[in-house]
Amino acid sequence: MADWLGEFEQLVLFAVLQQDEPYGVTIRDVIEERTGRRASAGSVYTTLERLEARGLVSSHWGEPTAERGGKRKRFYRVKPAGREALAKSWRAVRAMARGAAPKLGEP
Amino acid sequence: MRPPHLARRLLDGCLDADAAEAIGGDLTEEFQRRIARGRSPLWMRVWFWRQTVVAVAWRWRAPAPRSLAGAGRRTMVETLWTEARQTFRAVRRSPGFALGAIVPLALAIGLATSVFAVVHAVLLRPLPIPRPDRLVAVGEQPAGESIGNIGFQTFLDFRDQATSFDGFAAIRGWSPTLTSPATVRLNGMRVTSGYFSMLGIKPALGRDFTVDEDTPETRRVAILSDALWRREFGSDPGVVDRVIKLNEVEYRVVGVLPASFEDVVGTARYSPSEIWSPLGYKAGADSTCRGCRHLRAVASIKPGVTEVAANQELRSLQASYMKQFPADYDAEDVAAVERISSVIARPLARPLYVLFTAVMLVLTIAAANAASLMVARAADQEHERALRAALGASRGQLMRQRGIEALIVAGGAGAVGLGIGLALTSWLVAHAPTTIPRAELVGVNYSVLLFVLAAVVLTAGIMAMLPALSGALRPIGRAGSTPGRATDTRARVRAREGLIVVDVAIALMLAVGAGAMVRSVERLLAVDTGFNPADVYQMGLSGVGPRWNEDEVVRAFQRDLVARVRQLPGVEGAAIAGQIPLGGNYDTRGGYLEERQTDRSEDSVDFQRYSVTPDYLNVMGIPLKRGRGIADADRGNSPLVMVINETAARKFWPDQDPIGRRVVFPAGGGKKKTLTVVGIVGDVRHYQLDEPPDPQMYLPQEQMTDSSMTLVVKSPRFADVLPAIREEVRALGPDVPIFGVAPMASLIADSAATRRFTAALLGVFAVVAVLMTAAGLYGLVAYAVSRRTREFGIRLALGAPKGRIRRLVIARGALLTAAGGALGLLLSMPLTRLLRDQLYETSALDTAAVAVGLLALIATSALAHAVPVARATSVSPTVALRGE
Repeated sequence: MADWLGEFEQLVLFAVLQQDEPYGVTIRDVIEERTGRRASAGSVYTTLERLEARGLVSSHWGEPTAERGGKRKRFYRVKPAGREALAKSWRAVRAMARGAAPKLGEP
Repeated sequence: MRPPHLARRLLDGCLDADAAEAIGGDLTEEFQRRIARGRSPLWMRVWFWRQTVVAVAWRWRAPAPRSLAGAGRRTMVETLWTEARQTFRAVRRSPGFALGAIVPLALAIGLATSVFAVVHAVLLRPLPIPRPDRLVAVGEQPAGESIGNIGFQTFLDFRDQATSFDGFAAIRGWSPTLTSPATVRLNGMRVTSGYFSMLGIKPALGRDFTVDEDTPETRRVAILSDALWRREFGSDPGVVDRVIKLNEVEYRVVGVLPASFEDVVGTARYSPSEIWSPLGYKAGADSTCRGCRHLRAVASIKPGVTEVAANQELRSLQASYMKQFPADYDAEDVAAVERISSVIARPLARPLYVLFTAVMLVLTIAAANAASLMVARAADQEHERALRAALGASRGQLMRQRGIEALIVAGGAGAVGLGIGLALTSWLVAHAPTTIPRAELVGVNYSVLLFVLAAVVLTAGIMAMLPALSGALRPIGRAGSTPGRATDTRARVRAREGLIVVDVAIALMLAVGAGAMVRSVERLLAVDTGFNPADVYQMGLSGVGPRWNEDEVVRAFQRDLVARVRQLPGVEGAAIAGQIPLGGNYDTRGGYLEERQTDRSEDSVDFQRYSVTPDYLNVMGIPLKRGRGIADADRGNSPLVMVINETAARKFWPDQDPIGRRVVFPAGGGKKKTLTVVGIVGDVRHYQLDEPPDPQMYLPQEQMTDSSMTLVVKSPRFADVLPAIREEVRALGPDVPIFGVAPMASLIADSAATRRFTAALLGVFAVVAVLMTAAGLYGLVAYAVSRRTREFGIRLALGAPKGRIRRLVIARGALLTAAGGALGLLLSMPLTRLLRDQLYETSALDTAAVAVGLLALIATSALAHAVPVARATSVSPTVALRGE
């Protein structure tokens, strides 16, 4: 059975899902772009590490680049369990929003 | 453009390798991109730092990913408390570490605290008057010299014409003898009216002086200090309006100052006073002329006026007086102001800053050693940390533990150090040269506590940060890696080696500085004072009151006293002088050479004047060079004579024979006295040991009587004859107080006291620094050896000669010592520049001092290596291989 996800975990998972080759910088860019919310590198990475430890995402190293001071990118991919967990959480939010959303002025 | 180096180090040091690479890479990438898009580099550096701190904080908060424990929620305080207790237990479990870190640190904090307490009292603490920063001393002196004296007429003009001040007072030292109720000599000042209101002080009893009391006829009134009132008048509230006798003259007490009053003006310009009376000068009377510079002035600058503007105004006023009265001013003299606080602090400011710098350097060594121990400890505990991480301790917990450990060690050291500091402070105050002003204020107060706290926090910060920066705290992902086998990371080793280089450099600096100071004091004390202090003692006598205004009374007293004292068994010689060398008197007379026949000020010649009885030169052992000394035959009715010193002869009669030449001195009331030079004697050092002698002259008391007297007695058994001498004085002059009984040798010692004190303290600091460095170096070498026990054992087993192993151990340490030594020599230059005006005929980088410093260093290094080397070469192969 998949775990429940925290709110920030959901944002991070959505961001990873959305991109072809997501890594720290792009994940934070997407979150900021879509939600207007600043996410620090530390919080994003900590979340990703936790998700990885729970088997929801996997990661692999890319090549080092000069721009990154010779450090490698760490790319992430959502694993099937991750998809399942995200879907479950997302369904729960939608179920709870049903009927209440118009009161918030949302469709 | 690269992101901040230190921030990157922090990331690398605090995060595990994967996180550090991913996050560090991300941040670097964004950093570059945003700058490329036009963000300001400064802004981005701040951004990078913020991201770094947040990232580290996040890692601390998050439990390690392989967490097994689902710890219940606890408040932060509970967590911290638990962790503190755990850490405390951990520290207690390793007493070696705790002692090794705490003891030197406590010692250093203690030393620093005591020096800070003195620095605070003397230099930092504001004066206890309402507007301490507005109160200035005013005087006329050659540019750049310390504030000098001023003539009464000039003072009046300044007071009436200068607009930068809201208070202006003239003062002069006054040492009256209180003859009723008891006979005691007091330290006092005569002051113009308005003096106390300028200071913002109101008497606690009675009233201030009025303007009407500040005249020659009405000035017989006095204000007492609280201490004098308590001591001599038994705190009698009825003392106001009582009549007391000062110098046999009746004075009415008009007021008593509050107990809180501290005589800062007296401290700055004369010595702290306990009695005050109006100056009572009338313009135009004797000794009120512009050239009669025997007064000192203090003033308070109006709010809103700067010191510079006030100074400027006085200078231009004085320039106009100079034009008007060219004969009364010396072309070199300029009017200047200086804050009273700075006048007080000046003589000690430089030595204190030197000592404070030195003691902070010692503290740096101690902190560096403690940090080095922390790095080693962190490395030793790798296994334990891995285990705890595996059991669910978060990285934050592990890091916090390190921080708490640093705080416990530094805090413990601070507590012990405060105790040491307290003890040292009272010792310092008790043994300080008497010239420390406001010494009674040295003690523990909030500022001192704050200083200790700051020292603790800073030290703890260094101790906690350094292991992080050197990567010693990098969490280990997997438990179960073999304990004690992991080779040290290079960063870790380099961090500790860097610390040792710093230690060695500082220790050498201090050793060189202390060495130069010690040499300097040696040379100073070896200066030829010009007199022979062996068995010679001095005592002050003061004949005051109307009776003593008669020169014949004074002469008769002097003749009789000298004759009677000389008769006492055990006395080899006795004489009386108006002032003696190094006695702190400044009696100087100006005249002109008869052959020049001129009154112009640039032709005037100044002599330090010693009015002496005939035997003085013999008693003092001042050698006669030519002609004759003062003789019994030089009486009031015989030709006026003077004996001059060699400096005067050289300066005033170069290439001529001074004997038989005549010097004319003004004698008051437009009269003149012409003196004939009859002899030349050796120079004596009058003000300070390090000041070259000025022209000096010796006059017979019979011809130039001085009722302020110093009796000098040569006696190998002075203590035994002192009571008899006192008896003779009492018999001849019951109203003559005796004060300041001291051997002449102590005047010489006092003259070097501040320097000697500085040298002694610097020496102590240097020794402590060297010992601490030795300990630090020992720790590093011993640790390196213990880590390589196995390697050495194998090498020995395979037949490596012991010499080779020895070289292996010594090479690195010797290299570090050499690097530290080179750095230390470089750094010595700025430090010794600080010392320069404390040094006497010694170069700041004195060869001997440097040699001693280097020797100390080599000895330190050898000491630190001896035991580890012995251990490394005696490893038994079997033991080494059985190892773990």
